[in-house]
Amino acid sequence: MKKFLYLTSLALALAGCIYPFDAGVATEDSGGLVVEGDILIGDLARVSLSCVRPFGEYSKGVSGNVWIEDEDGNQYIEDASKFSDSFTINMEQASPDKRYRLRVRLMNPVTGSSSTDYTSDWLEVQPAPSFDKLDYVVDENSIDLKLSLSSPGGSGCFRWDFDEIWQFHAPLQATHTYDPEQGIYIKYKDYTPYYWCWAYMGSYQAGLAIAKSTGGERIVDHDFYSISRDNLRLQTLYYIEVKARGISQECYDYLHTIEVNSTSTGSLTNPEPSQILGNIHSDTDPDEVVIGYIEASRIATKSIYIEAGYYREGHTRYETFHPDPERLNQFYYNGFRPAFPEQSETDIVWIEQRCVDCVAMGGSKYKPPFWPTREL
Amino acid sequence: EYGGRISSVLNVRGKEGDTKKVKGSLGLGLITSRFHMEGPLGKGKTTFVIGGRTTYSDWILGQLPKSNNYADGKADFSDVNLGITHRVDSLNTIQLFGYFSRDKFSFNQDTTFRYNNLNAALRWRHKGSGNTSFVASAGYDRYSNELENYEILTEAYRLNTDIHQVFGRLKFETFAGNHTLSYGAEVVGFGLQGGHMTPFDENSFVLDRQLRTEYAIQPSAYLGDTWRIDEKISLEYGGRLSSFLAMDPAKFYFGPEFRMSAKYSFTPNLSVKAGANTLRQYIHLISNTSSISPMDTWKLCDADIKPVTGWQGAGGIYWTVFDGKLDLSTEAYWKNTWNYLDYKSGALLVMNENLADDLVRTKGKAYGVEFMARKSVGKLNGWLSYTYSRTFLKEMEDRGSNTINGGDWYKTAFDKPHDFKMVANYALTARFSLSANVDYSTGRPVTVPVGWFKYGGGYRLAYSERNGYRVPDYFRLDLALNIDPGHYLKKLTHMSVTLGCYNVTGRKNAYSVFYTTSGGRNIQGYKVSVFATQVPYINLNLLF
Repeated sequence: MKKFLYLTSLALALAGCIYPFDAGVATEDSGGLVVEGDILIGDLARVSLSCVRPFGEYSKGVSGNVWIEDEDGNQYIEDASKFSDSFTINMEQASPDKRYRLRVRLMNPVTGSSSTDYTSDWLEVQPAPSFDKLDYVVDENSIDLKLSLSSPGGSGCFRWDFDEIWQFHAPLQATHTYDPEQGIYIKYKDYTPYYWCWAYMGSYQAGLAIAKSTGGERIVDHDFYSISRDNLRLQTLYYIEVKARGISQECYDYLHTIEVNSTSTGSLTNPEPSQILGNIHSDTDPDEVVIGYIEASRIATKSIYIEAGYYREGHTRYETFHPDPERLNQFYYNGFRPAFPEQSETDIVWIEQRCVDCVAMGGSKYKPPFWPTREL
Repeated sequence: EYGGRISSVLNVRGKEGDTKKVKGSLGLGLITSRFHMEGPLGKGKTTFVIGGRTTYSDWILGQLPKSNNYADGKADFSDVNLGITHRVDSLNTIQLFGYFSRDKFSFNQDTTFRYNNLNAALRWRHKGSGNTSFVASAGYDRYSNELENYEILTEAYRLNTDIHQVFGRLKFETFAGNHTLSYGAEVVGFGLQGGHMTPFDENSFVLDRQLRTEYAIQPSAYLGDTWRIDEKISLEYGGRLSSFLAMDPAKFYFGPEFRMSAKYSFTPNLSVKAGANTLRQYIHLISNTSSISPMDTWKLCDADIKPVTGWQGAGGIYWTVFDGKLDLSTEAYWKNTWNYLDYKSGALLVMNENLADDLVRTKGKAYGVEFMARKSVGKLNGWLSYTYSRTFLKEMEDRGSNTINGGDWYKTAFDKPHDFKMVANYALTARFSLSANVDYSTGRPVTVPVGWFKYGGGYRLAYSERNGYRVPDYFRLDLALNIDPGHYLKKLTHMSVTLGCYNVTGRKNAYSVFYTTSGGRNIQGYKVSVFATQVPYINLNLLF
């Protein structure tokens, strides 16, 4: 009886269980064209091509050509002979009073001839928004950047990207360097050439930066980026340039759906996922699914500096050591560098290269022409 | 008489107790039990009916050693009903009816679902001295559900939804020759709490949040006639004026509903029926079908949400053959609806204060045909049916690239083309009989991710068209052996034993399908199965 009870209980216990599930997705349902980009009137249009891949497979190259047409038949193209997956088209001379559309011609990877054409809807140029404010707020652990945008007569939806430049220095200032060919130490005459650097970052890594007004045509103090106070960005001088544009309600809904489809799934309180169709269509098969939403916009640009003073250095230990004088070259080529004398001028301690060389930390010696400080 | 809904009518009548003696039945099993008793109260003017059913898996699972991970599992279903009928005199009868059900189950150790139903009604039947009688009734209905999620202690919550209504009805019937006129009115008051989220316990940081409770009144009046033209032909037709007043802000809707049906009997064993009617409904159901547990969200009509309207036509042939031993029937239907709500892509259906912004209006079409055979007598008896049916929706507005499935027709979450059911009993001997229950249906449609791509600096999921795929088909076979120890006509009680197995094939039928993703590129699909294995049982049945 006990056994029967146990078996019945186990059967009940297995009453509600979760098992792996494979929907048996048809091959033709994955593999659709993905077109990403924007037509920025008065600036550049950047367009990239890729495709949807089945799960478990790596990305696959897509090759084609891309150009932009206006309603008068004028074409804007990077290079008529270029077949690639990434394009930059000069739109500086384009008029904001016309409508534009994107054209894509894919190349057949087997035959090398053109295969399929795609065309976007005709696009009205969205007006450039106004920057009401680009500011930041300092709290205990981070600096939060905020922006306020308005677009009178617009949809109240905005998209932006930004470029960052920051100046920083290596943790330690070395007084000597080492020449492995001559096997000698060389003392620096002036500031260490590898002490000051600059770093550059574009927000193409920041994800889909979009926001929608909850009422009216503006967003106010929208948090769009947060920098931890132990980030090197805040060490010396930080610069951010934000390029914002107004987007249509339809474009916002599209990008928002792409984001939630991928980041919030499976739970009761997550949004409902669904297929998304963009505004780019196959010329030959109107039912073909093409992912991507192209907008034509004018951009507004604003930049700010964040001075030093908020940086909190992390608790990093720098360990120096006395190398074997017979093996200095070996240490040099293994990523170590001399730092400074310890007991005497000939007693030079060594350290990891990244502690005395800002280029080894990922920086660049290229100083932007507009940069306000005088460090080399 | 029946209206205010776009679905079919299911007429459930409460049973009146036996006026002569107390009798009942009792079924005791290791997993479920049931109880039913009815009979007279006092001098026979009053009768009662009481019944109940329950499972008690909590108790059984609690008998497992605590080291067993399943000792905390939950699967608990129970309901109780009570009916009291009092004949005041030969012309007046008062009835009180009540029903309460409570279901609770967990899929895993951190989520529990509870569903409760409460129905109460008081009815007064009066036979007029002339040809007119009336029934006056009033009652209260409530459906509530609760979800507990305690996977992460600091985010653990309870989510409650609730819909209740009070109603009053007055129905008259007047017999005039071959006509039976029915007319009356009703008022239904709705209260709908779309969501109340509270922290699970003191460790949770979830804020107490509650959606605004919706209130509305739905008055209606109707007039109908059943006309028995002769022995072969009868007609039924009528009209209903239904209205709906949403509160705060106020919004009023009203419209007529018409119904007409006819029956023609070629012979006493062969008849055809056909009918058509228009439909209106003022409460919407939106289902979340892509989560671990499909949950329904209810929404009353208001200033932004219009009533569902539609029309339906149906017809059927009914044929009894082999001297009444076999009933055959075929029925077909077609239905069109408008203003049926579906959700936009990326819609948030739970705890959404602006739910109307995430919904779209669709038009729908549904059609089907059913074949049924029923054998009521003989050693082998039972029934089987096969239904082919389809349901589709299509957005009513063009929202450009955001239009669901590009504006084409798409399958609804309830589209199940093939549905086969069979219930069979075979009497092996006078004491032993076998029962079989077969249930098969096409898996319901789901929207699934079909691939990944890079966009906006991150990995993204590409999904199929709305409801473009299906969960695996549903199939279940239950078998039982019924044993009557003996037939003693003079004994007060009669006992039988049932040995059975639920889900004999152990098929892991999908209750729901959901996906989880990490980083947008790696994705895993899961299906939730309830009773995913064979469940044996023993029931002791007692009649008294």
